[in-house]
Formats: sequence, structure tokens, C-alpha cells
Amino acid sequence: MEKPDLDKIIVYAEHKKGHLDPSCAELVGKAKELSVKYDDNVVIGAVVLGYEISEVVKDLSQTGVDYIWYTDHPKLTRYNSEYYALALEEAVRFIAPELILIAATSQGSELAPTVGARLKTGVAAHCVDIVADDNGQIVNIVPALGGKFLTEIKIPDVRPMISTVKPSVFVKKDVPANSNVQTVRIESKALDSYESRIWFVAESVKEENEKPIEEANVILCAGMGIVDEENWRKLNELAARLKCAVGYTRPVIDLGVVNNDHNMIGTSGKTIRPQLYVGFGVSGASHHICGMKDSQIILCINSDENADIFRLSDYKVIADCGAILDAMLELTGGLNG
Amino acid sequence: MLNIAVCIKAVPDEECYNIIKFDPVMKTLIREGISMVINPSDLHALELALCLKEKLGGEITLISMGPMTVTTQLRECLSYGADEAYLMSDCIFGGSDTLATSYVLSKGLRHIGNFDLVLAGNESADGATSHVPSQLGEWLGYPHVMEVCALNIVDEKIAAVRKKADNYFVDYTVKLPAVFAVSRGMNKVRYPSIRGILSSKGKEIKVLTAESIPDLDISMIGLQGSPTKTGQLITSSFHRDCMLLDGSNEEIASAILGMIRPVIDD
Ligand SMILES: Cc1cc2nc3c(=O)[nH]c(=O)nc-3n(C[C@H](O)[C@H](O)[C@H](O)COP(=O)(O)OP(=O)(O)OC[C@H]3O[C@@H](n4cnc5c(N)ncnc54)[C@H](O)[C@@H]3O)c2cc1C
Ligand SMILES: Nc1ncnc2c1ncn2[C@@H]1O[C@H](COP(=O)(O)O)[C@@H](O)[C@H]1O
Repeated sequence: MEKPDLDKIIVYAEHKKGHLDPSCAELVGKAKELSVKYDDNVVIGAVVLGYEISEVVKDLSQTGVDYIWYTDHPKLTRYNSEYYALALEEAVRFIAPELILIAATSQGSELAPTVGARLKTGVAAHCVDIVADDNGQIVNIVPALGGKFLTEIKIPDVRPMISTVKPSVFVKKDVPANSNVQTVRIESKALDSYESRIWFVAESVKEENEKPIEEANVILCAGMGIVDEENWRKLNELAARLKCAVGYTRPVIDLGVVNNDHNMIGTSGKTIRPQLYVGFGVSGASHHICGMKDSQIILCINSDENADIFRLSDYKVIADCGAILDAMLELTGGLNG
Repeated sequence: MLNIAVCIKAVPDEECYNIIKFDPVMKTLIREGISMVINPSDLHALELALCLKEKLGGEITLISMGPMTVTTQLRECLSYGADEAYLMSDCIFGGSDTLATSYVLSKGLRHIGNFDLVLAGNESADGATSHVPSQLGEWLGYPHVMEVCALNIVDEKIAAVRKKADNYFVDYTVKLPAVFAVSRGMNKVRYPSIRGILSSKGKEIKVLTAESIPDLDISMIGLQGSPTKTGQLITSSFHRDCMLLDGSNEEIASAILGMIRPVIDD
């Protein structure tokens, strides 16, 4: 079989308040990796949408991309799914890439299927890997049944192919900047004449956690074995003393001890790869494992010696996690101190 | 009076995930003994529809694409208080990816009537792509919003919604008709009443086949209408050699702290 053409890969570059999203570098890294398979004859581009975004375009030129296509338009001042889908569709039709990589952030998760439907093409969701097979076909590896299985998705006949990837799934690589980046502005006629049916009203202030959980070196993760509010409070106290981050499994949210799901770990939450993950009463359900399996060291405390999580752990403690928490607090300045 | 459609999908019961086995020779799932349930987030969409109907009056129509066995899940949804249910079932729908599925659903909805609101779950528990709601919106030509965690009807033509976006919230007003994907956190799902259960038994679940819909483009559905092709299942074999940390609670705590301290963030 002849090698299918792969001339252009583009990354959708998301940005907020003048800053490129970290996912952008992760996706460019993956695009570079793929391009090697095609003897480096692949143009790696980025598409960026917004209003007055010259700074973002400049930052983007340092990420290692060869091309930047951008649409700068007042209607793109803030994210609006209709305007953004319109502009992205327009850019994609103009650029005609074979593959589009989009971060599965809130914005990307909406844009990818929308643009996919407009272009009548396929979208592979939440890829954990994207590889080129021996025939040069792009193969997306995606979780199936909550991550218990993985499956391959190919888009053999329609172009462009679209793949979405959750933030932090790919490790950021240092791609040297291309000193000869081409920057192309796309003038959008479609935006001029289109009036959205979705109107922005207000935005809540983003909770500025000291640091996103994805960047923490040590994560203490609460599972349902935490049992009650008392242990939850202790875990947070310990984390504060040791300056580690706190994550949790999904059912912990139903306990009512957390009022958001920002630090939930797993398929419907965050993907983390800290140096050390410490699980307190986590059973090891596939949905959760999916988000933490790449942690460097996994240590888990569970009262059930047959807990599934132990199969994925480097260290296990078979004990009541409340008692271990108490002992840890005692050694770090006393139970109440 | 609101005309509300709710998209319902039947999925393998989450409780069965850990017993689902994989046939390494055939590279398929052994589905034996796996019970099907209503996709959890679809129940939150249905709950929203029920609340809106109680407040403003209206009709709730359920729609699902799937095998004939899904009548069981649709009947269960009827027992919560939905008015009508349509099952789009035809062997040529089989193998549809999200683009083809949303196309079939859009054709079904157009065929059934006019809706002010089309509600869906934010993700299906098995595929979990979160593609169908947006793509359904595109086929219908309606605006669509994912991750909706609050919704009010402002007047007949406009809904006010709150969307959970990464780690903050955004409020929008949206022109109706529109498609909204409801996230789990929006509401608590009620239990069906005895009366609901009894009255659902007598209700007819209308089946739509490809032939029921005159302008269905066959090239857009099933395997041939699906740009994505699913390959073999791969078992994700995560395994590490595990060492037991033993001793008194204090000894264990000190060992754990000994691992944490060298790597904590500065
Ligand atoms: C579509 C979908 C998406 C999902 N997404 C996610 C996701 O992103 N993230 C996620 O985490 N989950 C997710 N889930 C839920 C997931 O399937 C599991 O239900 C969940 O991960 C289990 O959480 P857990 O381990 O905390 O609780 P459980 O499974 O209840 O386990 C509790 C564990 O604690 C142990 N234990 C109990 N008491 C003690 C004690 N005193 N001391 C020590 N150990 C004790 C028990 O032995 C048990 O192993 C999802 C589910 C669905 C259907
Ligand atoms: N076959 C189907 N029939 C009816 N509704 C569906 C179907 N597939 C997906 N949906 C709806 O789309 C939502 C998101 O599903 P998905 O895009 O598969 O994650 C689900 O919660 C359902 O409301």
C-alpha cells in the first residue's frame, strides 16, 4: 500500500487572557514526533483565534511550529462556540490539513465534534496515544468502557482527521523554535455576517488554586475509604503541612466534602503523572486508573488486601486509612497542631 | 408549553465493568451476563425535563437509537413521567459512529415534530466521547451548549444556562430551539412513582426504522456513514510489582513520609 499523504498537521492553539494553554506545547510535541515517521516532510502549523492576539501569535512562534494561521476578529474576543466553530472551520478549509490536534479542554471538547460535523469528518475522542502504523495510517488509541480497554480508531477515507487529547496526557517535549515561522492572517468574511444565537452574560472568577494539580509532584488522593468529613479534613491538613496537592475519586464528590470537581482524577477528570501518588481508600476502578496510571511511584493504603489498586501499586499498606492519617499527622506536628 | 426531547442511550451497567471479559482470540467483548442500564447522565437530562414540565407545562418525548432491547430502558424512562418514547432501531443503523448516530437522531427528531429544547446527557458511560449533543445540534441547525449545570427558561424563545468550563462557570442566554448537554451535577434524580411505573406499562414505544423516515440518506448512516473505524480492542494491562509496607502505624506513617518529603514541591 502506498503511504497516505500527511503534508500538514495543525494544532488548535487555545489561549486564555493572553497566555497559550500548556496543552499547545504537548500537542506540538506529538505532531513533531509523528512527522518523523513521514521523513520530516510534514508542515506543523497552529491555528489561533481571538481578538488582538499579536502577543499570543508571538508566543506561538516559539513553540516549534512552522506555520501559524490566525484569525483576529472582534467577534472572537471571548470564546463563543458558534463564532469559534465558524472561524475554525473556515481556517481548516483554507489550510486543508490532513490531521488536526485539539486539546480536550472544555473549549476543545465542544469545538472538535462541532467542526467535525461541519466538515462531515471523523473525530477520535480523548486519545491516549496517536501513532503512525507501518502503512503510514494514523492510528488513534482511545479508552473504551471507562478505560478498562483501549481501542484503535482510524479515519481512513475522510480528511481532515481530528483527534482530541486531554491535557497532560502527552508529555511536553522541548521542540526548538523554527527561526523561519510563516505567519498568515485569515480574513474572515463569514464572521462579519454571522450573528450568534448564544450570548455571553457573565463569567465566575476562576478559582486560582495555588497550582494546578497536574503540576504537583506529590498528590494525596482521597477515595471512598476516607469515609467521612473528619478524615477528609485530616487529609487536607496533612497536605497543607507537607505542601502536596489533594485529588479525589468521583464518588468522593457525592460525599459532599468537596464543592467542585476540579481535582477529580480519572477519565472524566484530570490526568496526572506526579512523582508520587498516595491513594487513601481508593479501590482502583478503571475510570480512576486511567487518570493516574502514569504516576512515577504509586503507594496505596486500603483495608482490603485484595483491592484492585494494589495490582497497579509499587507499595501497598493494608490498613485503615484514618489510622495512617492520624499517625502521619502525629509525626508532622501533632494531631491538632 | 414546552416541547422537550430527551436523548436516551442504553449502556452496559457500570457495576459490570469489572466483570466484562475480553475474548483474546476473537478480540471482542464477552457480553454475556452484562446488563444494560440507562446512561447515568441521561437521567439528569430527563430530571431537568421533568422539572421544566412541572413548572411550565409541556410534553416530554424520549428518543433513542439502539437495538430493540432498549425498549426496556425507554419504558423505565417513561415511568419517571415522560410522555412519549421513540426507538430508532434498524440493523442498518448498526456500527454508527457519533457523526452517523447524531445524523439518525436528528432525522428522527425532525420526523417526530418540533421541539423547543433537545436535552442529552453530557457523556455516555461507555463511549464517553461527548460528541453526540454538539453534532446533533449541528445536524439540526440549532445552537448547542455542553456541560450545562443550570438552566432556566427566560421566555418562550430564550434559555439562560450556566456552563461549567474547566474550573469556572460561564452564563449564557441561548436562543431556542437549542440542544443542551446536561452534566451530572445539575440535579438529583428522583425515583419513579408507583403510578408512573404502572402507567408506563401500557404505553406504546414507537419504533422508527430507516424506512419510517422518507428523506434519510442511507450513505450517511451505519458503517458506511461513519468516518471513524474502530479497530481491535486492546486490554490495558497495567501492572506493577507491589511491595508491602508493614509494621506499626507509626512505622508505616514514617515510611510514607520518608517517600513524600524528598519529592514535595518547593
Ligand atoms: C462514565 C463514568 C465516568 C467516571 N469517571 C470517573 C473519574 O474520572 N474518576 C473516578 O475516580 N471515578 C470515575 N467514575 C467512578 C468509578 O467508576 C468508580 O466508581 C470510582 O473510581 C471508585 O472510587 P473509590 O475508589 O473512591 O471508591 P470505592 O470503589 O467505593 O472504593 C473504596 C475503597 O476504599 C477501601 N476502604 C474502605 N474503607 C476503608 C478504610 N477505612 N481504610 C482504608 N481503605 C478503606 C475499600 O476497600 C475500597 O477499596 C466514573 C464512572 C462512570 C460511570
Ligand atoms: N444511540 C443514542 N441514542 C440516543 N441518544 C444518544 C445516543 N448516543 C448518544 N446519545 C446522547 O448523547 C449523549 C452523549 O453521548 P456521547 O456523545 O456518546 O458521549 C448521551 O448522554 C445521550 O444523551
